This record gives sequence, structure tokens and C-alpha cells, in this order.
Amino acid sequence: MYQFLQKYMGLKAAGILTALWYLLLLFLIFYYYFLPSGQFRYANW
Amino acid sequence: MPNPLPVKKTVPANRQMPRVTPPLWVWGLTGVGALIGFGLLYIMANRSEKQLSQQLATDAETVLRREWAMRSDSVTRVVVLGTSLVEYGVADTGFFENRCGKRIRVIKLYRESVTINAFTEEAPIFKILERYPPDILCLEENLLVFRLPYSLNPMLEAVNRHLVLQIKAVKTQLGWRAADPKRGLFQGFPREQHALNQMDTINLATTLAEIKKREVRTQTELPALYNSLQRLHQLGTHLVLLHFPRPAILEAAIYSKSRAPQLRDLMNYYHQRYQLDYWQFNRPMPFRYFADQAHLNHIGNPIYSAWLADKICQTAALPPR
Amino acid sequence: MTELTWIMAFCAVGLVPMGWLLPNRWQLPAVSALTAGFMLVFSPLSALSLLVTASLSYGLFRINTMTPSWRVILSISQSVIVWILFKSEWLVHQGWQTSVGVPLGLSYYTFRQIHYAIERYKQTLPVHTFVDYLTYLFFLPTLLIGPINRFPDFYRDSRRRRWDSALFSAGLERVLYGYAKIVIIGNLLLTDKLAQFIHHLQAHHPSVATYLSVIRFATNAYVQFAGFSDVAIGLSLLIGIRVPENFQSPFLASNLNEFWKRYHMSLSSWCRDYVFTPLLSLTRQPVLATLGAMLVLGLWHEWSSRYLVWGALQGLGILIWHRFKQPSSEIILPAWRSNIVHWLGVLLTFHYFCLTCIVIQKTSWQAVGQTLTQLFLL
Repeated sequence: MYQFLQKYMGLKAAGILTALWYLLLLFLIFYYYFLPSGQFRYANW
Repeated sequence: MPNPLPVKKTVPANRQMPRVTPPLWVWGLTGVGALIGFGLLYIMANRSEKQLSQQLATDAETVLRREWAMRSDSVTRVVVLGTSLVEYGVADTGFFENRCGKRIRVIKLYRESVTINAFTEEAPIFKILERYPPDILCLEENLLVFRLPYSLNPMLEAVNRHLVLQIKAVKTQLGWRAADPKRGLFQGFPREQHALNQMDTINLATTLAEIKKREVRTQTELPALYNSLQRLHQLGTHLVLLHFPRPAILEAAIYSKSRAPQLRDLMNYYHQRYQLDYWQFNRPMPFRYFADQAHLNHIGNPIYSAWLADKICQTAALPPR
Repeated sequence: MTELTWIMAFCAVGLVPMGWLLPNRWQLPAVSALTAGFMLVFSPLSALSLLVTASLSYGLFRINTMTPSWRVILSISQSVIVWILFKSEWLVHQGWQTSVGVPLGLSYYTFRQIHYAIERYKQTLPVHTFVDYLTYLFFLPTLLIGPINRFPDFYRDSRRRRWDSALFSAGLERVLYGYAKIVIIGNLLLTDKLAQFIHHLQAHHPSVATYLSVIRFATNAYVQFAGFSDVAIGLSLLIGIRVPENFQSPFLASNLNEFWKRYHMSLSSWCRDYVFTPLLSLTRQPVLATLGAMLVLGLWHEWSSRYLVWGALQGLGILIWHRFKQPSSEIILPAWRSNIVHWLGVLLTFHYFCLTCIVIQKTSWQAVGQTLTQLFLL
């Protein structure tokens, strides 16, 4: 993401956009965090 | 079979060059953004929790006052108090009247995923009930019997719940989703019903682990509630501890052998002290009677409600309609 | 919160700061000590079993009166016995694990210990101390969720590690992407949304619904596991240790042999090095060696009949591919045909893998039969 943005704009702008992208991901993770999950399958290997 | 893409030999991890990665200040910025965002959400969630508590008290009072205004001596009034299990499990009052052929009003009072505190400390529901004492008060058994760890992280969950509600409201406003059908206060099913099948039971292990952690309450830990129960009993209300069925596998875990003696002691104590009856629905329910792992659906609800109606009819000496 | 979230939180507040802020020589031992503390809190049994098996697998090599072959045999057997004890289906049915519990990350560290014993027997390991070995085993990021990293790599990295902000940043990104993979793709799309979709299909198109649920199981397993591995790799990077990749777009592999070089790579390469190669050199029977390696790969997950059958099916698939593959130099196809053949191979491999996963998805053989009849006969 950062690598891609960095090519087309300044370091600062790329950094800020990347931070926003990370925030979006964090938001989505938190928003869907309490969904039922299939995670337990890997809990005890 | 020819294989035009040869398998690339992976470079050992230790010799791989890292890609261009964002400098650390980007992460700092992300961290600060997340802190501010989460903090704001937390404040908003707290505020909306308080509002919801107030709303519950006002709504409960409105419903009870309306019921009491209609009161005539030939009507038996039953209040079922609890969490979303009540919301999903108990049918609306018409169902009971039809089933018994007598004049009963069954009033559901509930709030989703709460503990007994929501009805004693956060909102004075029991105080309101003392003002409008019903003939029968059914209390969801979970609330009085178990210390429920509704979530391991109540703060996170409250914030998340708030966020989900907000997003839902925004989506509805933008026309991206149909508005929820309007329901009367404390009436009907909350959302579209579906039946569980084995495929959806992926989360079972997590639920079972949570159930194992539940502790049986002691006989002294809810003093405010006990006072209210005593007063209601004196006012002539028949108190009932109402069992709500869960899928059979979970029931077996909830009422496991290791807990049975403790549970029996507690029930006996409640019975001696406050004449609290225990109504247990004893019939194993399969997954397809449930909308998820705890809540009855359109198939399970009538089955359970019919049993409850029969129980109520037997208990109350009801005058014919 | 799930175990993974706890691990991440614990790494953020404990492991990573300790791993960099303490004086240099205390950094990794502190990480191990904190890991042991974490295990003690979560499941004391795990801490105990890891400590005992680790001490034995190291200590047995210090006994001078034994021949090297005896040392390696005893060292491997003690790890394997503990592993089978907790992972066997038969003992699960006896019910005592439910009361005792299964040690966390047992399968991973058993295989690490076997690798260590064999390499030590072969005398290929660098000079190290018991503490170095414990640091390798008590490493929280890879303890629960793999990959099965190798001791020499870990040891080299633990010596060479220096603060590197680019590596740290790469680690953070890896954790974030891994977690997003688990929650958004795995939980939201595959577990939740696809389940609803399948549920709607069930009434009118049961075959399609069954087909989708079979695909869903295998893809969900992959996405979740790959996400877990990403998180593990990222967390290790935060501490300055690079662990090997575990997945490399396996569903794009055009045959089963290649698939297993890209899916759970750390386990399949373990099986190649410690089962396939020795068996091949002993027996000179590639068929036997392949089957043996894939059976061990299956049993690694659980010591049960269904994983045995699953492993055998993987081995069978590879053998069939070997039987019918043509050396690519013999026929030169035009590019478009070779492309079509390649993508058909991808499709076939993917479906073969998904179908074999029915065996591990269902709890009984009857259910497996039912699923298969629903898929093919209706």
C-alpha cells in the first residue's frame, strides 16, 4: 500500500493515506470482531 | 500434466529483503487516530447506555400503567421479566388468551444482554413493579441463578454494540437497508427469523467454554433484589423462576452434574424464602427451534409459549372470558 | 476474547517492550520467561508439559553413557508419547482430556523437538546452551499457531537481531493484515455471509448448497490459518526474529504435489525432511515414502481415523498425479493450450483438496457418506 502510494505522491501524503487505510482496517476488524467465528479449530493444535 | 509455472523455490525467511514499509510515524498516527476514535466511541456508547436504561424505565412504566388502566378484577396479569430470551421465547399476549380461553394479559419486559443490575440499579424496574404488582411475576432464571459473564470484555462489547446501532441507523437513513418493522413496546420478534442447522453451529465450542465459566450465585449477593421480592410477595404476587430452553447440547452443559447440587440448594432457598416457584421446561429442543444458540425462533417460540400458557392457566384460578 | 487476541495484547504490552528495552543479554530470556508466565496463567498443564518434554529432549543428549542412537530414539519417543497421549481420538472418547485439557501448541512443539533431536543426532546444530533451546521453544508468537520453525534459523536470528524500524513496521503491517484476513474474510464473508447464503439455497438447491458448504469449509480453513500464520510471523518480526512463511497461494497450485509445497509449508517440509527422505533412503520405495509422509502430515492434526484417512487421500492424490504426469519436456504445447491445461489442473487440485476435507469436516463416517450422496447423486 505504502510502497504503491509512495511512487505517485510525496512521502508525507503517502504516509497519511496509509495511516487512514490502517485505521479503516482497524475499524472493520473491530466492527466485525464479535461475529461468530470459525477460529476455534486452530486453537488446540 | 505439464506444469508451465515452475514452483518457485522460496528464499529462506532470514535472507528475504523486507519490502518498502511505512516509517514508524505512520503507525504512531494510526495509533493516535485509533485512540481518539475509540475514546469518542466509548463516550458515546456510555451515554447511549444510560439513555437506554432510562428508556427502559419509561417504557416499562408506560406499558404497566396502560395495562393497569384497563384493569378489571377478572383479568390475571402476568409479567415476564428478563433478557432477549424473553423477547424471543415468549409470544405476545393474544396467544396466551387464545390458548387458555381465559382473560390473561402477559406483559413482556426485557432488555437485551443485561444482568439483573439492569432492572435494579441501572433502571428501577422492580420499584415500578411494586407500584403495579402483577398477579404472577416470571423472572428469567439465568438472571437470578447464574453470574453471567455476558462477555469477557463488557466495555469493548458495549462500544461495539453502540457502533453497530449507529451504522445501522446511518444505513437506514441512506436507504441502504429497510427500516426495521415497527413493533409495539415489548412485543413481537426482533428480526427476521431463521432456523439453525448443524452448519451454523461452528461457534459451539466457544459457547460451551463460556458456559463452563458461569458460576452459580450465592444466597446473599443480591440484597436490593431480595427486598423487592419480599415486598412483591407481601403484595400478593406469585413469584416464579422461569426456565428458558437452550439447544439440548448446551442445556446439558448448563445444568451439568457438577453444578446440580449448588443449583438445587439455591432454588430451595429461594423457594423457602420468597415462595419462588421454579418452572422448568423439560423437553430437549433441537437446534432448528432456535434462531441462534440461545434464542427460540418462529418454530420454537409457539412450542415454548404453549407450555408456558398451560403452566399459567394451571396456576392462576382464572375466571372464564 | 479469543486466545489470539490475548496473545496479541500480551505481546503488545509485555513481550515486545521487554524484547527491546532490557539490556541486550536479557531480552530473549525475558521473552521466554513472559511466555512461560502466560502459559502458566492460561493453562499450567501446557507450561509443565512443554518444560518437561523440552528438558528431556535436551537432557537425554547429555547422558554420556548412552549411545547416540539410543539418545535420539528416547528423545523422540518421549515427545511422541506425550503428543499421542493428548491427541489420540481413542483417549478423547475416554473423556479424560475434557477434564485435564490439551496442552497449547502441543503438535507444533512436538515436531520442533523431533526436528531438534534428529538434527542434534546428525550433529548439524550450532553450539548452543539449554537456555538457547528453551528460548526457541518458549516463544509465544509461534507457540500456539506455528509455523514449525527450525532451530538453526531461530538461533542465527536470535544472535543477529538488531533494532530495525523497517522490520518492525513490516511486522505491524503483517499482524494487521493477518487479523483483517481472519475477521473480515474468514469470519464475516466465509463463516457468516456465505453460511446465510447457503442456508437460503438449502431448500431449493440442496446439492449446490452442499457443494458450497464443502468449498466453504476448506477455504475458511485456509484463510483463517493463513491469517493466524500472518499474525505469528508479524509478531515474531516485532521481536526481531524472522520465521519462515507458511503459505504461498496454495489454491493456485496446478497439482497436488505443488499444492503441498505451498500449503502449510513448514509442516510439509518437515514431513519431507524427517519422514519422506529417511523412508525413501531406507526402502527405495517412493510410493511408500510418499504415503508415509502424508499419513504423518494427517496425523499431526489429530491422532484419529479421520485424519489418517485424510492424510492417506492426500498421499493417494500425489501418487496418482505422479503416475499420470508427463515430463513437460516431451510434449511442447502451444501457449494457450498449456494455459488451459494449467488452469484445469488448478481447478482439479482445488476440488480434490476440498473433497478430501469432507472427511475431517464431518464428525461421523455416516455424515461423510450423506454429504457425498447429496453432492453426487441428487
